[in-house]
Amino acid sequence: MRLVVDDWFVITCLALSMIVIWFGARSLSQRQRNQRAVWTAAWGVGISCLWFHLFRINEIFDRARPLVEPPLTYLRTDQSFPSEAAAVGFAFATAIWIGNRRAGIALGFLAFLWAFGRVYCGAHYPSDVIAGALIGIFTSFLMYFIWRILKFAPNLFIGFMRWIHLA
Amino acid sequence: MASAFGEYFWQYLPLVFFSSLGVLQIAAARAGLRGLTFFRRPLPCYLFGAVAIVGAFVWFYATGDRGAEPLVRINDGVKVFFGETETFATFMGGAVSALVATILVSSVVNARISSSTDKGVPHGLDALKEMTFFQAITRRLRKGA
Repeated sequence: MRLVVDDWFVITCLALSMIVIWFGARSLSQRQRNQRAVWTAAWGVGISCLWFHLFRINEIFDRARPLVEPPLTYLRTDQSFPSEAAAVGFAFATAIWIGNRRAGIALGFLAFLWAFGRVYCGAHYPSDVIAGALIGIFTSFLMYFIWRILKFAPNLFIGFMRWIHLA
Repeated sequence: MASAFGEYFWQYLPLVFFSSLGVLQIAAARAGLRGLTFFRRPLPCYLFGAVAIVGAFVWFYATGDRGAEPLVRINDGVKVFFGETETFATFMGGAVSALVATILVSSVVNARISSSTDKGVPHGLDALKEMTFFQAITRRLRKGA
């Protein structure tokens, strides 16, 4: 359990899975869907994090962490609500789920484990991770619809990567 | 106040580099991208990938207590920081280095994979099913496509 609550393991696994999803599809049509999903995921995660820093969401709610002596990890002293980890995890999972159901469910499980671990170890209240997850899911859907309208940007990027044989 | 960024950078970068190397081998073998794999058959690629990923994580966790300290803190008056931007930049650096290393090694190992220069170059990653990255790029440039 300690592995899934630290600041390294899950986020690194989620990011590494983007490489598999980008390169690992067997058919061209699935590859194109996957690569658009990775594009959306990158933006979904980036914009999710941007919300937190731009609008200082944690400082607005200013909720203290649930435990003063967490059993599994270091003591977090910053604000608790909402959970940025949950936002990042579910932003990844949602964007990938849109393009690839099986991979999206697997990443969703990883994101759930991360969020559950944060509650289990006393770093967050359940409402923190639920709010964070909603932010991540909303942002990824928002990015999906934005890039459906502004098709030229992902097309340009993926087209260039395809030209240099990396997509 | 002095600050230190390198402490985590040199620990996280090898983790990302070697695990990305492993992930790329598994993905390339799965997609049949013969021009990106280090081995002819898929099974050694999967084994190499698994060993690289597990080895990188075991090394990372064996060399420090990763859950014990926050990534931004003050140690003896020195601000230690490794925030989201630093983590992202390090991940991208490690992943791109792993991709470059994969391209270089696979191009050397598979130098004889495709000898015919008459065939056209398939688009995108499909080209790497029958030739290496450098073969695909040079043929494309030669044909002016």
